[in-house]
Amino acid sequence: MNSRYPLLSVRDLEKTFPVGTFLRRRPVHAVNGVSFAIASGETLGLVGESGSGKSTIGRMILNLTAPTGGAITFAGADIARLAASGEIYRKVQIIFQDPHSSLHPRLTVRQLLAEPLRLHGGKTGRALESAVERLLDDVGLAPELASRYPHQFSGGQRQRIGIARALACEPELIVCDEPVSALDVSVQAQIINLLKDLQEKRGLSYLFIAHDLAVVRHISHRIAVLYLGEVVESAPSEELFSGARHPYSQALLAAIPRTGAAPGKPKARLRGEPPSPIARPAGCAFRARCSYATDLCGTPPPLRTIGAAHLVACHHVETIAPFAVDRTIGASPRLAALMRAFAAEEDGAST
Amino acid sequence: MTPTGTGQSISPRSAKRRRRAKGGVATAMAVAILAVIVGVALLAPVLAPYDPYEVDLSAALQPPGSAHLLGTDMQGRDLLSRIMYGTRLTLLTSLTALVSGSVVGALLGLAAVFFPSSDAVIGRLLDILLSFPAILFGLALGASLGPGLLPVTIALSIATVPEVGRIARAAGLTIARQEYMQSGRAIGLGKTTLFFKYLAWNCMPTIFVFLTLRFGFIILLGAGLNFLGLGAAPPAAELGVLAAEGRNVLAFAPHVATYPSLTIFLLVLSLNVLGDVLRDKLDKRLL
Repeated sequence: MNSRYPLLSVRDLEKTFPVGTFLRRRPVHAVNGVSFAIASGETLGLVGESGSGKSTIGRMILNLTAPTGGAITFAGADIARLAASGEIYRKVQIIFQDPHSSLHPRLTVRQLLAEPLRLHGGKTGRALESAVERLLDDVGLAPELASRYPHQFSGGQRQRIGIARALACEPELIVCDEPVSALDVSVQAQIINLLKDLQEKRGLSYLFIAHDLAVVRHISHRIAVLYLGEVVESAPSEELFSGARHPYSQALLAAIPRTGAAPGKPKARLRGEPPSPIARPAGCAFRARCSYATDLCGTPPPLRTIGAAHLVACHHVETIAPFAVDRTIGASPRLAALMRAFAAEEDGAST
Repeated sequence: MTPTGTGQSISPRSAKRRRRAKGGVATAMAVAILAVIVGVALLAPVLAPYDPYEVDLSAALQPPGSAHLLGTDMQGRDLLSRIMYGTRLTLLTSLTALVSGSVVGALLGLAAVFFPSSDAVIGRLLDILLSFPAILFGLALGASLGPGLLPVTIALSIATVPEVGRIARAAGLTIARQEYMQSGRAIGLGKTTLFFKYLAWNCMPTIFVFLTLRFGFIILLGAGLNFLGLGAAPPAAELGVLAAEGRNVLAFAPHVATYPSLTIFLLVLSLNVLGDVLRDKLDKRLL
């Protein structure tokens, strides 16, 4: 692979859906000029409210949905061309949000995993069987479970099967579309640990889509914050948590539930609802909910570089103080503790 | 890494048992009646005491008795033997119609889901088919092809297509929203595999239950068309034809019309009961 290219590069990505009746058809801008890149072995967290276009971006990277504008390139090659030649399936895979609907209910685990193995690895017979067992082992499931059906598993176990199915294609990048938001916290910790392990062992890159900042903080190297289909801030993970600059990112961080004595300062609280993507306000999309908004915000703010790899789309960046959450908040102490516990247990088991 | 969990089944066993006990008697009876009727129909050549076409005018219109268990008709033919052969013919035509009609209907309905651009065309086509009563199709086909079992079967088949098409489309829309459809596309499966293995296979239970419910209606419709004289010509034994023959002598030999009608009644009733049970089972699994 040519190292001059990032593994995945997304430029000015746009997706509009037509809505309305025949005569009054108007476009909805689900994704509006999004650009980012993911390096090999890196995890980019993509955060935003529901309706911010994060899942649509994930679907477009897999070519499950066609973009209406912009370009997606994988190691320098256009994604549409990779899709036409069928190469895309061995480069990019996806883990879905709902483990209860993402597995074909009438196939056994063995059949679920054999499908991609046969398709892309050309494996048959004995080699296929051992590949299935190896995959199950990789995701922490016993090989005896291969003959069971998805409904015989718990949510966490199903998500492991989903991960194994994605791994079967031996991709370089995996789009994780809210892979833990349907699971409870202790299972979240196990799945995040598993994803981290797999990244180390296989050099995988992730696009990690989530609405939960605590989860994203634990796995991402960089985080991009999405608002109404636009990236409003993007920064290395720790930098975002120690110095968020965009009012929206600040509000998101301030909204993380906190435990303990110190009550949160009520500043940067979000007011109102996000505007409808059909009646998109001109200029900064966050304007109506922003306490810093002035007339200047009627023009679209450019994405400006304010530090190493730290980008913010706000006219008033200079006047807004960086917002930091203290070290524990957003790190979800319970999630962290569980992750440590599970990691220790696994180390103990493997030695 | 250590394997986690045991993958225990999470189905509520006790609820299942309770539900089974409740509908158990009706289900068992429906299954038993169906088994008897279908078994007798299949084994008619072996079991029938007489030749169903053997005329014996000296024994015409005998009431049920020891020589003829269900009596005889106007030409002295044994009614029990005729009903056995008649059930055979009725089941054969309605099953042929049901299978052919539902294959076409299901393919149309699922194609409407799988190729969204075809949805409007297929949807209207099904609506048009749905707006013609099946009796009308039977009459038209009977008029153009002449009476016989073929036009009746075709009419019944056409009557099955739009209903099954709509059910298949509705089921398909639900399945198409499931993430595993996307998952199949994401690993690069071909369109044929996605259509049959992912979409159609998962719609099968819904369609199958509907067909069980529909089977009774098709039998009834077929018997009706035969009763009207559009189907099998009179010497042939078919339940609708038998009922029609008995109509003329209903006042003084009610058994001739009653027993064929009773057979239709039992057949349709047990199919409907069975369909209801299957639907309940499916609903529970989907919940």
